[in-house]
Amino acid sequence: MDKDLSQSISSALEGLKVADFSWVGAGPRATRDLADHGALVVKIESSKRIDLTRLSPPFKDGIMDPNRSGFFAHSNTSKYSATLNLKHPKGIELAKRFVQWADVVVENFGQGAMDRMGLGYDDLKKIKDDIIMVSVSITGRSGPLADFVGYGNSAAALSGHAHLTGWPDRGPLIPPIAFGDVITPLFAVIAIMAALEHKRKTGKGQHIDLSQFETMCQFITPAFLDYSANGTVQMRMGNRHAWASPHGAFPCKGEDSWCTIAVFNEDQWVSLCNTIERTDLINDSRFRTLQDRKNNEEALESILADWTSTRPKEKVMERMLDAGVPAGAVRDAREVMECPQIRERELYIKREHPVIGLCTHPTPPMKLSDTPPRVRPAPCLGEHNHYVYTELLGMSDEEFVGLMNEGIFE
Amino acid sequence: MTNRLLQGFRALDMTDEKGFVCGKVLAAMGVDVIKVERPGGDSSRNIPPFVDNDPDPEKCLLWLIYNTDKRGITLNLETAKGQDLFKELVKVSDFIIESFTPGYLESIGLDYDALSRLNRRIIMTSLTPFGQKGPYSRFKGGELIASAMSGVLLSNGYADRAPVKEALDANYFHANGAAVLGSVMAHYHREATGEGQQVDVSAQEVSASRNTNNILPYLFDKRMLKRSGDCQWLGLNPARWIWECKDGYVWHNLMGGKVGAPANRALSQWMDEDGIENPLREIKDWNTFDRSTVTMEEKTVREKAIAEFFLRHTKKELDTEGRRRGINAAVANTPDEVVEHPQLKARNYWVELEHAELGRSMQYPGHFFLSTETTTKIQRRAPLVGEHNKAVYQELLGLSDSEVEELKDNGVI
Repeated sequence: MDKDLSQSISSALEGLKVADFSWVGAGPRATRDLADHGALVVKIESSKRIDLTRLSPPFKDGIMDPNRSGFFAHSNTSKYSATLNLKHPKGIELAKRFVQWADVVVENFGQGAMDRMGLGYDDLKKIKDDIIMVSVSITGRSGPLADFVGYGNSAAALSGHAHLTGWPDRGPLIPPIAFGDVITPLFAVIAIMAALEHKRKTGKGQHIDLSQFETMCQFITPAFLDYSANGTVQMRMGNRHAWASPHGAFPCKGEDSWCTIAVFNEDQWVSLCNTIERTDLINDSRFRTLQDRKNNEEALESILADWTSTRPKEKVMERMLDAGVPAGAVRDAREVMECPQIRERELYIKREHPVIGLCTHPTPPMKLSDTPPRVRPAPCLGEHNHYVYTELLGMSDEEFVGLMNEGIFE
Repeated sequence: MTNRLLQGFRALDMTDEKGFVCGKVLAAMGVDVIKVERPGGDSSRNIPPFVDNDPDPEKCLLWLIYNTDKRGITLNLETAKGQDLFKELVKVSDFIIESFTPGYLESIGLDYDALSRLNRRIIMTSLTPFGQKGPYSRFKGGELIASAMSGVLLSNGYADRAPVKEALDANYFHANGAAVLGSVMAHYHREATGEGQQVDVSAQEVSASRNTNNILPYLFDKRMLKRSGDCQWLGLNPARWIWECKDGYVWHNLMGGKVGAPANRALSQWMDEDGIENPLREIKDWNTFDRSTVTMEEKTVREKAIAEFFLRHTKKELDTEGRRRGINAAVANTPDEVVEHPQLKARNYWVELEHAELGRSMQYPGHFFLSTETTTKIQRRAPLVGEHNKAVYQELLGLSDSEVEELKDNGVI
């Protein structure tokens, strides 16, 4: 059941028009945030160069089909799909009509690809003087590595994210969910919103250049400054934390069952000791200050593990939270979906997809009180061709059918 | 000052260390962000590490890093006079950013409903561990907790050890990004309608929104993926993607189909030139290489050979020669290597900010993105305790010298 409150509630980005030439990871996540908040996003794609996400598992009923990928369904909600073969002799001309129509153009092709097609920023500006163009790449559109071919995980390696993740006695790790593919889209949309404000004031468009490498480095800044201020080269340290102790995932009753506990100040430390009925630790010289606890962290972790390992993780969490100690059970996908907090806040909603059927979708995690998102299922390949080309680009039915017969919409 | 994208707007930043980044990003885009500290200075200034390892509140690295470009005032929000002053500031501001436990602002009369009556354009963005509503809303949290409660943590690490967190405060950086995005989308709507609103960001939800790789196999196939260390699940078996080289580590993956073919061929050719065992040679058509059907036996043989290949080469070789050949490997840089990285230098990524009080300058990452129209670089070091009290209370609110002195004496500012 559609939970849209009523048509009278407007969306935050109503009226904003986006021509989306992006594919795979980072670009589509950015335009999804725009679409979920009411922007009219047309995903311009082609069966000749199919978005790899459409071929990414899992598929509904295990059948590999461009309209059955769960990955695509989750990354492309609320968008319109128009197919356009850019390699067709008339493809670029039609792409330019999208530029004319749009406020914002988003792309994440390889370096120089847009220029070679005659769709570089200078070309776009000639078509529409105040266009905002956004390019998302791994290393940015200038510099010696501008032609670097990579993925979200390459950015994790380059930035130091990998080096600082994992155990000190083992190699670096990269979480399976590429962080760069997640945070760079956020900053792409932030940049778009800021560029729209600038256009409102000055009438000028611009080109925005986002490098995953650079966005990732922003959150590594504490390590860079520790190096430049103190000469310290930080190393991965498991679950430990520079200014908290204990800080880790502790074993609980059951197979592969863990609860995280993170003590950031003296109040929390005293509460923790009370909770595990070890008030003797409060005045134990090994654990009196944060520095003491850091110096004797292994002993401390083992004492805490003794207490947690005989209790279920949800119980450990409950006891800690009740005492005001930050704690969280380590949850799997099912537990996250069933979490009472996630449920009450409706992070996930169900939508009827034309091929997949009833499908659970994520909603944007920033909740705007007066302009809630309106999430629609991801489009099938070319699902909105007629609407997009006739209603949005203003083609006559004759022209549309003519071009279709020429194979331009493949 | 040069023209900035969001110049002309003002934000009041009441966050603790979990929410500093949100205001930093707004400030980098030109918003006049005023960081509100309690008299004497924010408690987060005591968080290590410090410049020269000297535990001085003006030398706290975390404070310095995440409060760039902001102005700083002190204000005691628990006094009636302090609350009045804050309300006066709200009347001349566009955004409020806060990270208090839900309910606290209401208890001191500074909740969204009260403040929006003073300024209906105001946007209030709240960033908390679990959001403003729901059964967990008042629980304490943090970076590791958000990661655990969103399912992200369970997917990272080795099967023989506890799940392991990722670098630094990754999940809270993500949550801060979401808070900025909510704020600027609400801003777009406000400029169209004249109406502000509330933006509610839960760190748990932000992390969960990222957990696509684990949520989908569960939703579609009722399958739970196990964490697999330096490997990634790609089909039948986890495929190795972190490799030890002669002097460190690299990321490398055999990608499938036409997209991966050139890099896979290049690697195979380099292995041949090295004269080592090369089972990749048996793959005749890389264009049809499908990662999801690789068997355990094939995987073991290929990965053994690739591991041997990487151990023969240094990071530098794999970076320069590897890029020339296009083998799709990326060096896992250490922080000191990142600072010297030619790509970042070429794009003028680093900015040197003067710290006259410390008698030195320090180098910061300069921008979140590049714009052809305006500078997006950070420009000013973080504020000292109460540094802009005079500018804000006198110039912005029109208080006199003696009024400011009185506020100081009464412990309000």
